[in-house]
Amino acid sequence: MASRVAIKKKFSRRKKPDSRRASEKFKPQDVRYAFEAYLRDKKTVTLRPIVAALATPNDDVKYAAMYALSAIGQPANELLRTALHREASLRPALLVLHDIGDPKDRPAIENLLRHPDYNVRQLAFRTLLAIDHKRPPDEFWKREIRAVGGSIPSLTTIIHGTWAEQETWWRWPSDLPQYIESLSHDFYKGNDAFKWSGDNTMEARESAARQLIAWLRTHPAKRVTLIAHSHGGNVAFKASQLDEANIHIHHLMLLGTPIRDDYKPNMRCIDQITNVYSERDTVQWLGTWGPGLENHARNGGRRLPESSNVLNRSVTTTTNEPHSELHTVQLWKREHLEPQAREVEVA
Amino acid sequence: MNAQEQKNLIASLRSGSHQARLRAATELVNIAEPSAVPALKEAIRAKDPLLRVVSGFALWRINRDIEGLEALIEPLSGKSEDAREAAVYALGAIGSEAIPFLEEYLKKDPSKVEIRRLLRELCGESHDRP
Repeated sequence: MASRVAIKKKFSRRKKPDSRRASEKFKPQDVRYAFEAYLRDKKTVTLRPIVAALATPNDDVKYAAMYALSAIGQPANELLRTALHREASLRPALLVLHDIGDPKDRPAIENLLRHPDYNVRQLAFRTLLAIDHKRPPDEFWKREIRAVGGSIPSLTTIIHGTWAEQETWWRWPSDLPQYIESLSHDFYKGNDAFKWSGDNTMEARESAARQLIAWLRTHPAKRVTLIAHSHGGNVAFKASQLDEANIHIHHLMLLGTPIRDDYKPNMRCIDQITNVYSERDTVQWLGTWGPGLENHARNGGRRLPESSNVLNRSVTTTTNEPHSELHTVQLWKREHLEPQAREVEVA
Repeated sequence: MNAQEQKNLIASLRSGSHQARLRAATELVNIAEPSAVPALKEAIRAKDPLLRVVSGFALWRINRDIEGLEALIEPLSGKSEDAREAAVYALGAIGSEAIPFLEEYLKKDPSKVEIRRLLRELCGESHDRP
């Protein structure tokens, strides 16, 4: 009975004009209640709060809704097609329709091939192939590279660290991206900025490295600067090591990256590294520990072996949050940090 | 590290500056010195969440102390970004040994999404959905 009351409350919220805010209040258990109610009653109306939950910014709720709708399958399709018209729920709804793969959805998905967002067009294309039980042709990725308009002169972007994928500091137009833009004039401002799961596992970082390679291929620039916080730096290291990498990073700037013996940069792919760290940063050191209480610290977990193209730069942090302070404008200004690579002296 | 240096370290953990206490706790993770247990049990009740995390990690490393593990939970949903990330790394390092404790914790409080995420990571079910 309690679950019915919960669903009723959500319905009444949905009818209010500010329904976006109501969807933000969803909790994962609300999705479960609605899912259980649907299994019991088989009434399509019960699916509405689950579809509404696709629009929430909370990933746990969104994924719960996606899994529930994928499990329900075709009875949810009509509501999912409606969700395609709403920007906040478009991508998760499209992902569920991809899982369901119903030919009746084809016209609605074909409309999305003209969507202004490249990622939506790509996902729509893959969904249509899934409906036809086909795989994307090998030349698919090459064609998509051309679709984003060819190479640009330079690009700077940020790779966030562990459990930071929901944070805002690394996204345009937050303070640090704006400050970097004022220095480099090439900060990436698209809403498809590189993002990874943020999970604290070797597998997640390797998966992120592959995603980074794919992202750099679909956002080609002649000169790429990556600013990587914490384990984001090890994602970049891993990307440079992967066989299929064939990427070129002009400047990799590390902010408190745990320096470990199991992540090393491939300097054939990277022109220059600036490793920014604080001696007071306990989190950087903790990030060198792996499962089974194995410590992978290299050079104390802070410094890279120096060379002509690797510079270690110690900075002074003044707060009790030194690891996070590394990505603040205050510290960048105080320490005169710049995204540009230093001039390499020619002997 | 000789006995006197260990005593100094424990004294620093008890009454040093904020930074000295953190350094001492960090060093105690490295050396896993059993005589530091009483001082570490005090430190996991400190005001600073980061010190609580590092001290809890040291306690677990020294004698698999469940109090040490408990000290890592609260910062996961706290305000300090550093303490949260530190707790994620410490629990990741403890690895599969933390799973039964986290499962019990989740039974008591199913709303803890951070615990659910940690369990997913520790059980090797880490994956991405766009």
